[in-house]
Amino acid sequence: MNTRTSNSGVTPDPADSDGQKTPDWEMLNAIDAGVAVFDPELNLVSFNRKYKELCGYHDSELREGLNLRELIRISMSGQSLEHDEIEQAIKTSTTRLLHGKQNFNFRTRNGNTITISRNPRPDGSVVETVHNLHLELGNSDVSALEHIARLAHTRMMLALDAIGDGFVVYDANDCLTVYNQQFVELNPHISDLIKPGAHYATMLRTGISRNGLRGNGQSEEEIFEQEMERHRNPGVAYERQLQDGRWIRIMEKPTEDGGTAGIRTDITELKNRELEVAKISGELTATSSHLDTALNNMVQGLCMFDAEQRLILCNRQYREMYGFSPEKVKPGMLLSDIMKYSISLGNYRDEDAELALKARHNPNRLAHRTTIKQYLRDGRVMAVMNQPMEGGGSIATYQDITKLERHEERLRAYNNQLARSNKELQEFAYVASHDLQEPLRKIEAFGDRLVKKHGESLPDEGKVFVERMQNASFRMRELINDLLGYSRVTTNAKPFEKVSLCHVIEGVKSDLQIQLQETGGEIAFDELPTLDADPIQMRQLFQNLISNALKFRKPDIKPVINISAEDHSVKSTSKGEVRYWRIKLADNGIGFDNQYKDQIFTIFQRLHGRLEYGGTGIGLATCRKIVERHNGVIDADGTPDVGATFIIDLPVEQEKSEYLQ
Amino acid sequence: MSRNDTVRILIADDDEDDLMLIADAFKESRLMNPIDFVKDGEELMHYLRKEGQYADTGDVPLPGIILLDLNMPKKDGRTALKEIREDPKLRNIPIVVLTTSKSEEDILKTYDLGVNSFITKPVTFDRLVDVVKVLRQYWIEIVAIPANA
Repeated sequence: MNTRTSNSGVTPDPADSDGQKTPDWEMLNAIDAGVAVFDPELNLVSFNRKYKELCGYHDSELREGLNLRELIRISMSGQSLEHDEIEQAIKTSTTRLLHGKQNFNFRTRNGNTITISRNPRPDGSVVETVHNLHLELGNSDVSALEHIARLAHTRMMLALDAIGDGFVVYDANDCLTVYNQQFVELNPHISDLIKPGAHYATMLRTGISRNGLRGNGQSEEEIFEQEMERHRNPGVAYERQLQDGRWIRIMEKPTEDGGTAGIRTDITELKNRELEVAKISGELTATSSHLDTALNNMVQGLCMFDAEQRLILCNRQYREMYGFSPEKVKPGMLLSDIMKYSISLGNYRDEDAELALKARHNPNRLAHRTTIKQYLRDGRVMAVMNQPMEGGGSIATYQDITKLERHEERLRAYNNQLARSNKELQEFAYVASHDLQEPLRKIEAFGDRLVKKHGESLPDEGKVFVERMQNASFRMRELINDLLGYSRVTTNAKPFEKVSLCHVIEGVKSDLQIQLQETGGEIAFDELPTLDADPIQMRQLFQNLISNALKFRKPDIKPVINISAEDHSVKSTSKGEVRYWRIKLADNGIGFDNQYKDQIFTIFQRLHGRLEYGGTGIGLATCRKIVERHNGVIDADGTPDVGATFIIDLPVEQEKSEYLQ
Repeated sequence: MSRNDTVRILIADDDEDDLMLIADAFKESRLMNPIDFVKDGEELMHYLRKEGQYADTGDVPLPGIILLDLNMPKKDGRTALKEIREDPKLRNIPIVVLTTSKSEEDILKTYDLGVNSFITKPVTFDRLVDVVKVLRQYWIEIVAIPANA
């Protein structure tokens, strides 16, 4: 049912129970030879008009389904032959068919001599051709005959239909002769025109006018000409997109009889994949160009080397850093050659060149992630980081760290300077403690001797001078001792331990017992925390603060000092929440104006005249230094004639490393 | 007080002023013991070992007590102290270290110097006299006891 056939021709429709039809009987009728086809049971399947004529059968005698034996019997009847002879001939004929092709001449009932050729097919069917003995058949005729006979075979047509491609044959006049179902399928826009004898040009023109073909903006006439040109010069495959989007490849070949045979293949999937590949490759190209842009816009230089240390790729910065010409340094160049080239450009100081070559090319180094520093002749410092890649080869990045290096140098210099000045400060502390005190002690001692031994003989003015001298000496001793205490906060620090502030205050109370008694002072505190601290410094801190409060008391009022503590947690960005104790020490003394509150913690800064209130101006500076050493903060809040409050925030816990100090 | 008075006192100090003050204080406290002075650690060792300028002092007995200033030129007090403590003939002599300040005393205590006492050089002369008296009570009289026995 897949195959079309013409309805014309005298041949009985050879459609059998399978309904098979062949398109070729019309043509078979046109040729000057008889053709008949028998099935493996040797029953007649089909035949052409000429067969009937040449064999001399009457219309009523010949019909499909007739057995070859019967046919032989009919054709030999009326030739005065014995029944046995006829039967023998039938037997011989059918038996010989088993062995292959038969060719013999035969005299028909109406006196013609014909040549009969019986050709058994591999499937058991038999094709019989007959022609006049006199007639010399041309080669092309014979080949056409065989060609047609072959095509006539039902199974062949089935086979044609079974192939996935469209198949078509045009005769020498460019008319459709053979085609299969797929051919129709691949020409949906002209399916109504496709029938044997249809002209190629007609089908093409109609197809174009029905927009069956996609042109590239060409006119219908141009498309037609182009297609005809292709059709007339077959041999080269070409592709065409159908209106429905499908792609087909058309391959035509000239046949020996001057016609054209063509194969049409649906290549839509292939084409889509091809387009996909083209798209992906386009994307890849874009990605690669993005990568190039990224590489070339990096601040660092970058190189990639293969396992043999040949350059795979490098970016612009790399070449610019070392002044390499892009023509010279390109993929494939050996790292050692690049280094030699770099040396030849004078990138390295002579004494460093050999070293640089060695360091950069050390195979041991290339196997691990390493960083080396290159000191270039022009003063630049490069950090070259080499990282091995999986499967051999390495990636190297080059960074200009000149600025960093300079900063580090400067930092080192500052550090050294700082260490030196710290050391000098400590030495000063020692000098202050010993060498300065030594002459001072003498001044005091001999002054004392002078007063004791010769005081009586001194005039009154002389006594005053000596007294002032001794007062000055005493002050100087005070200053030196306080200064020493201040510098010892850091130089003589003890590791932190758990310190109970209650114990500390009790200790200070007993130390200051005399002053408390003299002033009638009171220290009030209830619960004070235990925290990580240096016990000696805590005592020093509170002793300074309390004696300060007693010193700056109001003349007529007994000094009262209140010490309290509260939990004061603070959010710190680097450490999360840090717990502090906020300790407040409030007095009822003369207070101070808050505008001076920063001054009071500054060394040698005083708010009052020396004669009014004694002291060196070092006490509160020492307090601040102690609190800061404990990672805390000290602040003060004063109101003149009301009192002062010192606020100290100290961490509940200190870093463990501080313990090991 | 006769036997105690023979105990010889050696003062090693490079400071002339202190020497003068100490000598005055000894006089003031009526301490009659013989007092010798050396100006540096080298001289101290020569004195004790009867070498150099002290080669001819063979019959002079060793001091019953040494007052030692640690900061002296040439050989300092620390080195001299070490040598004295390592010398079997000298190691039993009591040594009292003279310091300038209380804080210096704190620092010196942290070293294992093997000294018998520290004395801070007092600021006033009266205090110095007191110190000399204490010195006599605690050391010279105690040192004299074995001599009596």
